[in-house]
Amino acid sequence: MQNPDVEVPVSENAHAADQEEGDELRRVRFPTVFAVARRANGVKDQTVIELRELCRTFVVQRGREEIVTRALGPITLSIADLQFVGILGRSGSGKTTLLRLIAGLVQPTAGDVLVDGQRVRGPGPDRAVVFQQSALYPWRTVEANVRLGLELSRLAKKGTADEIVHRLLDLVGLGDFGGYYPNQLSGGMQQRVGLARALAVSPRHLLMDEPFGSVDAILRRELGAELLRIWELDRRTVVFITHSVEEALTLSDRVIVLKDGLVADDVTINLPRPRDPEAISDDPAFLQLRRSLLTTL
Amino acid sequence: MVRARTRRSEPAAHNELFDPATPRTQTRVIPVRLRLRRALAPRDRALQLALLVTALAAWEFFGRRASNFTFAPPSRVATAAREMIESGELQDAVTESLVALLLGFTLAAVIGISVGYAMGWWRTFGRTLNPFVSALYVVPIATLVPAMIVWFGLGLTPRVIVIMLFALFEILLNAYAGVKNVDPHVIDVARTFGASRLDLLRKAVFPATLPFVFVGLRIGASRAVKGMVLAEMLFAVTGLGRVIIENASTFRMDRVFVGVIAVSLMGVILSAAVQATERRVMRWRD
Repeated sequence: MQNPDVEVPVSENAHAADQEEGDELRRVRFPTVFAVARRANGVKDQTVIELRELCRTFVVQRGREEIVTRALGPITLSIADLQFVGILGRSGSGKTTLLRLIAGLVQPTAGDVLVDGQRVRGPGPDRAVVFQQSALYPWRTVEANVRLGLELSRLAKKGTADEIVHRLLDLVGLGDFGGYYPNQLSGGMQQRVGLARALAVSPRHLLMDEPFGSVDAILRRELGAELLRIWELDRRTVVFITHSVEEALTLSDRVIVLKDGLVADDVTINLPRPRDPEAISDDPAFLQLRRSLLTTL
Repeated sequence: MVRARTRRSEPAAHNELFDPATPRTQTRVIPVRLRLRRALAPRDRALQLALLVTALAAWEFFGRRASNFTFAPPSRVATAAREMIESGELQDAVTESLVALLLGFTLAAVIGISVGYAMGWWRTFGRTLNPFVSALYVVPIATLVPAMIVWFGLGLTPRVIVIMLFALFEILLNAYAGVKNVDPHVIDVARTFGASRLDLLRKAVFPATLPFVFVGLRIGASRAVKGMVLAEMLFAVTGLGRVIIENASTFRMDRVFVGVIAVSLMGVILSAAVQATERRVMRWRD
């Protein structure tokens, strides 16, 4: 599915025209052109995120002993380009640790994380994160929050940045709220700002840590539908952490079940796209997958 | 104010508000008269005024009955204040005190905030220094005054240093606590965008710590005023401290009260200035 805003046909010419615009601008403005170009080159299903024997332990000292917990792993996994991957697991199953390792926010105790063939050494704007509690900066307006990533990663000039910010706020349906402060918004709106902030840097990969975990069930479904709509417009690799089987099934191409830090199941979800979260939940295939995942969990 | 603002004088509006057919959230215009009253004379303001008037009346009443040598009613304090302003004595004393106060407080703010930030930013530095800072924090500054006099004499320098020491630790420890208590998510967000160390400090840590820094500055301001008076009365007899001490020795209680009130006003104004800056800088809080 191509971004309707981008009217550039995928051809050698379009690519050459892009080249003149400068690397930064092109990445920010036309992420899909790249995505589609990658596909056209016959590199579909190329691995973009690879985990090799990845393991992370945490140590807590208690008196004269220390308690070592293996939070995650060892895990070996490959995630394909432009896939929407749901990581499903109960509390304490290592989901968040996995995401933070891919993000580069924590370092592995053993093993490697490779993103686009490079070993992850730290965080970077190619892997934007949407956090559980939106984690907006309360001292910045909505607009300034969305601009944050562009400022910090120095990806866009001032004029371009404003344009990107407005486009993204419109995309998440908050076009009129640019001047508000986060504490003046509802929880659902804050999460949308968090999503816009992550998307603003046009990340190659989007990492989402239970982004809708703190909103009510109905809003959660609505936000899920909105995320799907946005993703269909502008596809990229998404790693989506959740503890909700329904949410994982509705959104993902592939669901990986984590249990006690290990991969307990790895299921491809072949439900047709674009998906309607309302309709899909009655699909017999959906119900069967749901039952089997609940058993593993 | 905990209690909801319910007003008895709006029966017509109520019917409509309780009607489920109307939208749940409605915008209504506040009548200008009501808005003015809320802004100029809220209920607590009126009560505060009443308390002030009562206190002044009681003071006046007992002040007139007491001997002129031990007490003075507000009317005589006001007269004394007018005399002292006309002779220029009060202005000179206030200027003298204010210079030391502002120098000392500014110095405390600059040193306190930078050392506090450095301690929070470089954890090893902070943990190393922390016990020493805590030890110095409990030293009564007054015990250091004789040493100050030996080292710096009786001029402006020792007064500024005493004021600085009085305010320093509150500011420093609050800034340190602020950096240590920054929400880890705030840091994580900046890091995921590949922020440089400098940007992390400027755009994430600094604004996140502002509430702590301002708490420190507010407490520091009131302590600075205490340090100022202590220095002026204990050794460098000058400024408002001198006004108080000298007039007390000649039993001019009216003039003593002028000094006390002037000192208190300086403290209140300095605090208010810090708070006003705080509100300006942290607009997102309203």
